[in-house]
Amino acid sequence: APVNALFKAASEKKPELLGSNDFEKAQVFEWTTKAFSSANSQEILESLNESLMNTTFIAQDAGITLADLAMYVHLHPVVSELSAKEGYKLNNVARWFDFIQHQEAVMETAKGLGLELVALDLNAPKIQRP
Amino acid sequence: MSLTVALKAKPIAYSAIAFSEFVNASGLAHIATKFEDVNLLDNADKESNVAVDLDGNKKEYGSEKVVAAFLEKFPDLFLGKNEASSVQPWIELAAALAPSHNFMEVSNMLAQLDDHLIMRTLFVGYSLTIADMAVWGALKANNMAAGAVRTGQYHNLARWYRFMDTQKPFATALENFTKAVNASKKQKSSGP
Repeated sequence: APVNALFKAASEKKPELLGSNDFEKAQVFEWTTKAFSSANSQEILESLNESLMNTTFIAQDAGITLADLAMYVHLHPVVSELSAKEGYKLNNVARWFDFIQHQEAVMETAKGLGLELVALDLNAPKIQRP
Repeated sequence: MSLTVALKAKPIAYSAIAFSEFVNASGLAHIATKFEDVNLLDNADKESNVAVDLDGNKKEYGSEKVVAAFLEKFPDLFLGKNEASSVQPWIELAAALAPSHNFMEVSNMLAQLDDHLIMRTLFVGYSLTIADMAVWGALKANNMAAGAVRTGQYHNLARWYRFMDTQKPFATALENFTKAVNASKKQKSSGP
């Protein structure tokens, strides 16, 4: 299975991509597996949006893991199609995606994979506060 | 190169120790941080909560001049690919936030910061800039503001704040500061 091969390669070459504790490792595995599954992309978008509400990256606060990379590739076609309004609604995914796609290491790989930069409107309406 | 921070200042210059550790982590230079157990480094200057010497001969006092000195000496490190004008509004907001005790004023500034992060991971662009460090330092220096962020009503800002805390240079900055505070307490309790 591609996920197992990916984990093996990562653990040999870049173990920091697999999370720094058991909880993070489980998160990395869960989301990477999802990225390689045939699960409905819309459902993934929504659950990921909720999951990313309080974290900068999918599996941890500190930095990118394999889960971010796999999900970025998996969601590229659907995020490309989001309208500005849909982007605001899925703001956590949009914010995360935009950050990942602008990381230098990711940009190089993305070029090789034919994944273009997605132009996202970052000027979401302000939050209504009491 | 050296940075001097007044341990009992109000506000404490947390952002300056973050700048200094950020430079150290980059390997571009080494800045030695010293802590003095005083309210002000120069009693005649009420802005003198911090001083920096990045040229080996001239000390700059006060947060505003310290920010300018770091930006001038290490522009690429602190701006990334961004224009100086894009970090300026956040530096100014941070300077206003750090000493404020006015609840409405603090709430308005936190809302502004939180709104900006709805669709953004960092304040400016896609790598850490001096804007992030200035705002981080202001929150560390202002208990009212940091407390409001912790209660969860500014969850975008809270998410960014947690990210900042995980970054090595800033964790080191806090660690050094805490060590200095503890050392000064110890000295006092063992005094004559």
